[in-house]
Formats: sequence, C-alpha cells, structure tokens
Amino acid sequence: MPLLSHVAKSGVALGFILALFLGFQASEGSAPLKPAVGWQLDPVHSFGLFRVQHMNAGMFWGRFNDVTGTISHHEDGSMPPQLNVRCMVESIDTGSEKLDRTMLGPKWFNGKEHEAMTFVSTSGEKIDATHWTLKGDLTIAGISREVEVITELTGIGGGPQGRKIGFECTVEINRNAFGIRILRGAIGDTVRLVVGLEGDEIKAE
Amino acid sequence: MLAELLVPIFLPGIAFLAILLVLKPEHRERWSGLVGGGVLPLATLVGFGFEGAWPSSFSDWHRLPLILGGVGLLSAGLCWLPSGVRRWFAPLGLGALAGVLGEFPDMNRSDQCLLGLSVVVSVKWWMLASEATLGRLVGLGAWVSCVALAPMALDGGFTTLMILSASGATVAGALVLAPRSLAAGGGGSMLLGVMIPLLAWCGFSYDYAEAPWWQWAGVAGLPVAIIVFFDPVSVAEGQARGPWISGLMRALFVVLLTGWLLQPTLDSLVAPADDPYGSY
Repeated sequence: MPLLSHVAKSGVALGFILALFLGFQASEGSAPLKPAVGWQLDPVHSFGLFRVQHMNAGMFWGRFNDVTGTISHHEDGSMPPQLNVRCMVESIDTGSEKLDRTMLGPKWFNGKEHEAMTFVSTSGEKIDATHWTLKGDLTIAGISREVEVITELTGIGGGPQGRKIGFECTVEINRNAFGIRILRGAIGDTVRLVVGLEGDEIKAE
Repeated sequence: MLAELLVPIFLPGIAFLAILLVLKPEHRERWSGLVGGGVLPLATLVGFGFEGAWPSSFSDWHRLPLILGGVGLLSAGLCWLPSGVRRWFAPLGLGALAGVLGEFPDMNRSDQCLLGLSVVVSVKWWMLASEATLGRLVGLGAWVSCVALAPMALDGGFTTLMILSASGATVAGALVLAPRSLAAGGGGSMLLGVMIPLLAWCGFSYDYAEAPWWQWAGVAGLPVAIIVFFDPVSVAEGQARGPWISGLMRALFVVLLTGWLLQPTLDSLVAPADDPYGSY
C-alpha cells in the first residue's frame, strides 16, 4: 500500500510537471504577436539629407525639408519596421536659391514632372536590436530601383502630446541609375542619402 | 565643361549655315525649314552625347526638339502648296501640331489650345514679316528673341533650354547670313514662327524663377518690335539729319525694350554668386 501510494504520488507530481511544461510550451507557441504600431511622420522633425562629391574634392550636403509618410513597427522587434516615406523635391534646400532652382530642373530632380521621391520598404533583415537592413523601392525622378537601406531605431519616447518614434535611414545610391546623369565627372556618381524620421503614434479611434 | 555648352550651341548652327550656303539661293526658301528643323533635335543629341547623359526615360521637354523636327518636315511639304493656300494652311497646320503635341508640365487642355493659338499667330506674323521688305531684320528679330530667352531659361534652372535657345539663335543667325533663306512665306519663316513661342512656353512651364507670363510672352514677342523699322520716318526736305540717326534711334528703342523685359532676370543672374556648384 505505501508503495502504491508512493507510485501514485510520484505519478501525480510527474503529471503536474509535465502539464506545466506542456502548458508553458503551448502558451509560448500560440501567444499572439504584439500588433504593429502605426506612426505618422512629423514633417517638422523629419528631413532628408544628401551628400555628393563636388569637383572630385569636397563633399557637398543638401537637404529636403518636406518629408511625410508612415511607419509601422513591432515594438518587440520581432519584425522589421515598414517605412513608407515621401519627400517633396521642391523642398530642396542647398543653401543657395540659384542652385536649388538648377537642381529642380529637368535633368536633375525634375520637380515639375516628378514632385516627390518615395521609399516603400518591402522586406527587411535584423542586424541587432535596433538595426535592420530594409529592402524596398526607392523612386527618384520617376525611376524606381530596389535599394537596401540601413535603418536604425534611434528611440521611442515622447511627452504629454503622445508617444514618438525615431529612425535614421542611410543608403548609398548611384545617381545614374535614377537617370540623373548630368555633369558626370564634375559631380560624383555616388550619393549618400541620410533620412531622419520622427513619427507620432497613430491612436486607434 | 565649356565644350558641353559651346558644341551643342554652335555645331548645329554652323552645320545649318553650311548646308544653306551649299544650296542654291532659289532653293533655300523651300529647304530652310526642313534643315533648320533638324538643328534643335541635333543640338539636343549632341548635348546628350557630350554629357554622356542619354535619357533613360521620356521627359516632357523632349517634345520640344521632336515638335521642331516635325515642323521641319511639315514645312517642307507646305512649301509645295500654292502660296494662297499656304498662307492660311501653314499657320493653322503648324499651330495644330504644336498645340496637340506641346504638352509641357502644369499645362491643361486650354493651355495647349493657347499654345496652338500663339503658334498660329506667330507663324502668320513671320510669314507676313518675311513678305515685307525688312530684309535681314526679320531674322535679327528672331535672333534677339532667342538670345533673350537663354538667360531666362538659365535663371529658371533649365540649363538645357538655355542651350536650346542659344542654338535657336544660331538658327536665326544662319537664316540671316544665308541670303534668301527667309524668303516670303518660306520654310524658314514657318520654323521661326513655331520655334520661338515653343521655346517660351517650354521655359515658362519649367520655370523655377517664377518670371511672370508676360515676361516670357514679351521676350517671345520681341521680333514684333522690328516693325519700328518698317515705316521709316520721313526726313523733311533740307533737314540735316541722316537716315542712320533714325535707324539708330529705333535700334536703341529695341535694345531698351529688351533690357526692360530682361531686367528682373539679369538682376537675379548677377546677384552675388552663392552657387557652390559653380554650375554652368
């Protein structure tokens, strides 16, 4: 009898442990992912910078001031962020009004025919907790090319007005691939784009 | 970089002049439009070649040299028509061609109709002007207009149009230098009648300097100023003043008018250089 009781107790304990383990496994496997949060880009705190070599000498920086769009991001980092960014080319700011006009001309950004540059991410690969390589379609002057953008989550914060998220995206492109082929030799082929994004959380209605 | 500018401007114009001079004077009237119509497409191609920048997609401004090439072909055909028919058929046909194909940025259907109408009026004017006894002044009027359009295009950020306007000036110059190529109602006058308003409309559409429409229209209409030379002021008998004074005063009037029209553009262009690219 004591033996039977001992076996029964051991069985119950084993069953309990097994049930706990299985239950834990089940809860881990079927737990719903934290849904992605949507963010609306804040045009005041978002911008695009471009850098290109001038006359084989210095690196010239210019800026696009009007950047809008949306971000979708899983805060647990389980999925790469999704970016949909639109940058109005007429907001170009090189520090020189004359140069701005030239760069809006038909052989540069062609602002009259293509008012915006866009980037829409399609997939991504995690590098570490705050960095991803995002693949997506970059469209400049009406020509789309797939590019890989190094994207850094710079922070999630905010204030009384609501939560904010920040990303910084960097990509190097060959301007010739986008049909901007003017002044080759004088102006470098490789253009670095650095885009600073800040988004406000889109609250569900 | 200088070659990128000078070769597309001068090479097609020099080639045009050479072809005109090879042609017999009596044939220039008929063929000047066809040959001249090829100059701006050629300037565009030479420009692409020198920049090593062949376009990877079609842009609205490419219509400009294409239309002028079409005008060259059409003018060659129109020159075979009897002059009475050609007098009206040419402005209407060329206006329709420019109005239908001239679709530049920010232009809607009514703008295209206006473009077509401006070409009708312009071609009619050039055909009448070439029939009047103004000699080479007719071509000089076109030359002044094209030269004035070039800085406006540059100020508006459209360097390629600056090159094309300057190429247009070489076309006008060649028509001036080759006798009888601007004969009454011939191909040369048809070409000028389309080229000048088309350059102005294209420049206006792409303009980032925001020059007012009347400035573009005024510069395109500058050739009309040559009418001041048409009816010489009669010199009273016994008056010492020679006819050259009268001509000089009229020329001064045209220069002042051109300067007044271009003043905002020139002010903008000569403003302190803050262009870090050195640009063109």
